Amino acid sequence: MSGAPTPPKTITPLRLFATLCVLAPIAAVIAVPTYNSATPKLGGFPFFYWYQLLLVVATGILMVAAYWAVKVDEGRRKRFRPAETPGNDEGAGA
Amino acid sequence: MNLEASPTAGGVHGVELGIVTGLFVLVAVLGFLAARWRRTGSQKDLHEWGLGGRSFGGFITWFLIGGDLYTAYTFVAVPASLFATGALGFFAVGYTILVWPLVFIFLPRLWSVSRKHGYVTPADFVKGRHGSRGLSLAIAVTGIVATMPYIALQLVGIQSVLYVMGVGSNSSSFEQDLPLFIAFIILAAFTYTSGLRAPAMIAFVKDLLIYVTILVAVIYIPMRLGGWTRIFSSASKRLATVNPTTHAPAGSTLLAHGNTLPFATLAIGSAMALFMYPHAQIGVLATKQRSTVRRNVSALTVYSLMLGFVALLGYMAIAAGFTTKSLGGNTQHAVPALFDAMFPSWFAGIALAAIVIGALVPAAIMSIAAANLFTRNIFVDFIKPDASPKQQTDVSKWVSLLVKFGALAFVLGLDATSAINFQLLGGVLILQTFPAIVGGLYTRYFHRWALLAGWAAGIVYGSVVAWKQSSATQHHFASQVALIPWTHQKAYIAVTALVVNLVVLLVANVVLRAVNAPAGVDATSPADYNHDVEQEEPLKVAAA
Repeated sequence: MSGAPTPPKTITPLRLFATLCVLAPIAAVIAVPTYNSATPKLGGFPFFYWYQLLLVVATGILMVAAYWAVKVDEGRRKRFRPAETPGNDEGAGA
Repeated sequence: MNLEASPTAGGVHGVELGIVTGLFVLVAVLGFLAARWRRTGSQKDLHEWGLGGRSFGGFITWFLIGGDLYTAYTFVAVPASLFATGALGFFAVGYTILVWPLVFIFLPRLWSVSRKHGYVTPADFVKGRHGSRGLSLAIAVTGIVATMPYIALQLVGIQSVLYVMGVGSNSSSFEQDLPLFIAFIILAAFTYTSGLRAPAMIAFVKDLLIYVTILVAVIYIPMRLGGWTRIFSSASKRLATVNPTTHAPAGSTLLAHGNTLPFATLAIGSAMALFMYPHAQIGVLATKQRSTVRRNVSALTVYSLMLGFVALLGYMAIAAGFTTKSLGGNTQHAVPALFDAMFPSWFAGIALAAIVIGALVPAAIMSIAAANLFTRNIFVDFIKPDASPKQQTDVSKWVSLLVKFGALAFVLGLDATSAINFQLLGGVLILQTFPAIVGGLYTRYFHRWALLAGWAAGIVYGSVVAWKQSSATQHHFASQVALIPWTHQKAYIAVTALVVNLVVLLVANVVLRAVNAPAGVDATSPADYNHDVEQEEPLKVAAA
């Protein structure tokens, strides 16, 4: 909470948040045993099926969140970066 | 339920054929008109024909990338795989979930560096990054070899629609295949004249048809079949029936013990492989701005959701009473036959047209991608280094024709099964380019020769193992999964091969660095990977 603005660090809460949003669906899909089950059913669908379809929707929402976080973060960085000095953006991937 | 499950018999289905033909003509006209659409810059450059002038914004990109993911083959093969084996086939949904986070992570970097240096193909990037024409050749050849059978499979999709309509056949006599032949000549012609703009424009019509078809299918068909509960229960009953040839049940609606790792590796391996395919990268490189792709990712998940429902059409086909035998021995006919049996003939016509047109978009993009690879990384690099931009475009146009007719010959000369086998092998091969492309986006640590050695090891291992898979009905390429060496656990062959690839890469890398082997010149700088287009910036094609 310092008064004077300082350039953002390489790791910022926003970047961390974006990274989590991107990694969460990957972890969820790979953890197959957590969803390989017939129950609870939903509308006639075994859990295995409705859970994965729901996961698609959740991924869509998480991607919106990640996009927003990266955008805000890049906007903040740009203010500290004069036009022609592209900084070292190791973590800009996610 | 006493539905007539013998749609594949009988004569030509007139109404359906009429509607499919009508919509096909409409799309063909659009394809030719597309040549004049959104013209920018110099018409001679390969950017124009091969990347649509790199001018596509979010809206078009959504359709274009969706077109890559949602091919006629996915429409036909994914449900066919659920129809035949059950839950394991549903990996396609996990795969299309995983694709989007991966895209979000690495594709903006590829876009930036490609835009900055005028790279048209992934192999262009590899050459620039690692300073190695040999490695770039390896990437290009892998891309072309993996893409060819993929194009052939689009034809298989069209073939199965023709078969269900009573036109064309499983056998390969010329008259029977004439409709397919005509469809392909038209596709080849408009791709030649309009380049990437043609599939981009057709993709609108295609997606409209597909979305209407799927929405209707997932509401109407379950209603006719007595609801989802009944669909799942008849699927699980049928899949549990013991097959007299193999003495084992065909599958189950949940993953059997030992299928967990195959499921997970199929999903992650296919997701990592997808954007190694040159046709998938084309949609990304054709965008206007760095942020276009990321902004699009969340909207693109709509395709994955639709794919999930398309997959379940396989179970609906079971519930409708179809068996492999009633489909003429070919499970690939499950979805077209289901549409034909369930829908009134006018709507079946629309649904079948969606599959046919769904084949045209990816086939066009794939042939353009393969042609760009040949032109940039074989023709210019090894045959005619001083080729002018116009010559490059001309070569690309001709090669796109060659590639398509090669695919046609493939389907007519061999059978559909070999096209599918080669496509599966293609997935194994293309994943081996992952370290060179994605690794290269983040680090220069890997030596070019080490990357080449890893690539070769992965390709050889994967091809041999895939070839050795046999079943009661097939001697080679019978399975996408195989035992991991020294274990009793099966996994997707492409992923095991990638591990072999990485091990060889790391070992070779240590050795090559220790002996100070020449590392090649890196044409890129760290800032290039975050490059964006702030204002108008002239397009250029990387020098050879």
